[in-house]
Amino acid sequence: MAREIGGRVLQALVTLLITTIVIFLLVRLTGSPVDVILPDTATAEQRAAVIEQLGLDRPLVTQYWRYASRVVHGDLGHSYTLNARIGPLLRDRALNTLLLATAAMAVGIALAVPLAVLAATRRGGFFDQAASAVALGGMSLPSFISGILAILIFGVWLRWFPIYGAGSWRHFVLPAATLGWFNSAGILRLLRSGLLEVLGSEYVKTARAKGLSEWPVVCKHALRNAALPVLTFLGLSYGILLAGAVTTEVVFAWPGLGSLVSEAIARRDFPVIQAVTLFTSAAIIAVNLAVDVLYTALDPRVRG
Amino acid sequence: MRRSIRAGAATAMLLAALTAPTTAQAPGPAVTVATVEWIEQFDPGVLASGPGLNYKGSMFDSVVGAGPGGALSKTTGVVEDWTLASDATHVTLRLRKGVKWHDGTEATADDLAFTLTRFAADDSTASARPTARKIANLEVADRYTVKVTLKEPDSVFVYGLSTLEGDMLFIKKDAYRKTAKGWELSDPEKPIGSGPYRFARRKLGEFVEYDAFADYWDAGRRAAYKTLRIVRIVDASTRLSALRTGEVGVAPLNPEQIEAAQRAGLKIMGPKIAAVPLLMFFGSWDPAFLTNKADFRKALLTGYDKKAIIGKIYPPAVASIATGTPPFNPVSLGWDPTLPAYAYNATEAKRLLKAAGYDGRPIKIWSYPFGTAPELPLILEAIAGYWQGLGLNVELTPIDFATFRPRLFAQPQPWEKQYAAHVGFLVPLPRPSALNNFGTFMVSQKAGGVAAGFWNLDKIDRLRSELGRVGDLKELDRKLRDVNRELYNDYWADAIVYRHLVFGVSPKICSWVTYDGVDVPTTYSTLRPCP
Repeated sequence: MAREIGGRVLQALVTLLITTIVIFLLVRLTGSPVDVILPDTATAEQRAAVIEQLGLDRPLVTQYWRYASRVVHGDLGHSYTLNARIGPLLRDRALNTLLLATAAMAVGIALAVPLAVLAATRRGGFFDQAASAVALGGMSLPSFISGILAILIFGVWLRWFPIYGAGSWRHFVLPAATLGWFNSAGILRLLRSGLLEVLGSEYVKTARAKGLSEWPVVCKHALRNAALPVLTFLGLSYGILLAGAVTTEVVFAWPGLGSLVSEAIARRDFPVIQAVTLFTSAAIIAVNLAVDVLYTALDPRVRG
Repeated sequence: MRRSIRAGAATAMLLAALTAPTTAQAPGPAVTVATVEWIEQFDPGVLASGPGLNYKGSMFDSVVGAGPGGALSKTTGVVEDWTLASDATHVTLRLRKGVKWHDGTEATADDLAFTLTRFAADDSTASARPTARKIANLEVADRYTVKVTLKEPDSVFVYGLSTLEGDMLFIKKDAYRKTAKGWELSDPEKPIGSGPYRFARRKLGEFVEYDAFADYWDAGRRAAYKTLRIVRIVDASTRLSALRTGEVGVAPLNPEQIEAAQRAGLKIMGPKIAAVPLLMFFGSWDPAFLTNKADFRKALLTGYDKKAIIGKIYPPAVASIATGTPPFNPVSLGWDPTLPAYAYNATEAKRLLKAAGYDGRPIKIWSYPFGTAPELPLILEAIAGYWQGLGLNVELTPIDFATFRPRLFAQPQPWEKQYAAHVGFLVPLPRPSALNNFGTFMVSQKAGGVAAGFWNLDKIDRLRSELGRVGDLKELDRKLRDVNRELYNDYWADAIVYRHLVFGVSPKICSWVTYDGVDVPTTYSTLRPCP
């Protein structure tokens, strides 16, 4: 098992290395940040001076080497537009996004698991229909629509929650619910179909034949096995939440990685884009690695 | 049973907490202003412009002040008087006495001289840099006087020191330290200014807060709110919602939100004529393009119905139709209110196209949105439709401005010759001096221009140079009026609209003074709560 994990870690490092190269090259294909940064009065001479100041006049290989060497030493660089070191900036924003993603995941699980269990145990009934509606809504409504609706209903009309920014648990509610609802749809559908399959299997019939009541059968025996594919999905979707909360963060003015990277993209702030991408890639790889390890621990069949 | 009671009580408490309404913002102690764009740093010499001013404009003073009508003011900036030598090569700036920095020390001429030095530095990326680079020598004559010698005569140099024309803010010499290529703040987290608000605290990505500065030199503009909090909300519908809930007091609105904002009881305020989008003919100085011919330019500029287009796209509060010819406008020198907008005349336009020898070559339209006028692609599509109706072959290319912009910087500019013309918008500030817009948008690159948008570069370079030598501003205004009429008949470009900035303002705020002609209203200290 240790050898397997070692192999995965090595794979992860290679993936990260490739990611840094790809992102480094891709962002530079969008053009020069100088053309975004400079005011309308800027002359060609001023443009050349700023390009030199930012080190963008050097060959790409040299630029990459400088960037990679700094990253290895824990220095993510300096933002072109914020005139600040990226490390502390990323730490604060990443923490906000991690908290939001975790809260959204919790909302998603809390919503999806009971509904999936009810839907699977009462197939075709009211709960099943309701669960389908919830899943359909979550999947089909993009978060910029559901977010705006949430703001309108719970912020503007009911005045229950603040509608933008961070600072207290109340600020979490609307963005976490918006993201969590979207996330719950996948969990719900996957868990429901898993449960339906497991509930018809021989060992569940045996458990029932032994006289166990329905809920222990479902919760103790069926849910555990049906949850395995969901666990993989959770790992993936947690990564997606980390990297893909951009729209939700923008709608709720949430000071996380999503809003940071959207600002950086708009301003072609290469060091920030590279740092955020590196961080989210690393986070996704780490979460998936953890899921793989957990999966191995939960399911003896996948152990080598 | 006991467990169910406990659970019930907990649920009730939770519901009570959840359903408690959020506290609406009370006027007086704090006002929150939402912005769309900002750059979270405090050195005005770096990346100031609009986004920079949004973030820190309230904690600094203008070097030269602005008045409500878009004119220079001797009462709202730290420079209380200036004199220009008759040959326009020397300027004397007189600093106001009693201007205090936020650390309690008094501002002196050394600070004023340093401000001009810092903005001219190699590492400066402010829009006021070209103005500061015009300085050949600075002399601190006494505690409150700075004598400036210019490299070349420039009658409108002082305009460049005002936020009407750029982003020059008054900075403290002691707050900076020298670097290899310029200057940097000694402590970027403890910025010092002399403005009506002083820095209190910030959280990157979330907010910046300023406290009222009780010792501010201008009693009439001392802050009415104890705290000014600036937040960034990019999404337009969230901004409007935040205004409706009272979580923010002032926020910019999109044109289509005005009606909803008014229905919700919000006030609509903001500076007029914040930007003047110019429809320009790039490379028209090159005889290879038909836009080098007056008939062809006239055909293009009279070949669309500006009034109809503007009427469809803008609500009246957002823009008004531009008249006359750029770079003149109601806040600039040389403005002639008698010159009308170019009249739409399709028949005459067709005749002129024939006279100009239009040969069916396509006209390239570069279409990109701008921050202060994101609707420009819509206008271009409408114009393209009119031109197609005249029988012109139009090729409209959507692109983002940053991708297009290197074409302007290239020397020579790479305008492909297979087209009859290259057309697109540039969006200058109204710039009351007018001459500074000549510099950026009309004159040749050789003469320090950027866009080189005029059809006869020798002529416009000469004009700019001659006008720059006129030391008397009244005389300059008169001469500019003559030039205005001449350029009007040249059909060199068309100002489409005077674009205003529109802010939703809480009904709890009763007044706000903004200056026409600025694209970033930093006068938040003039926000006054209703009694």
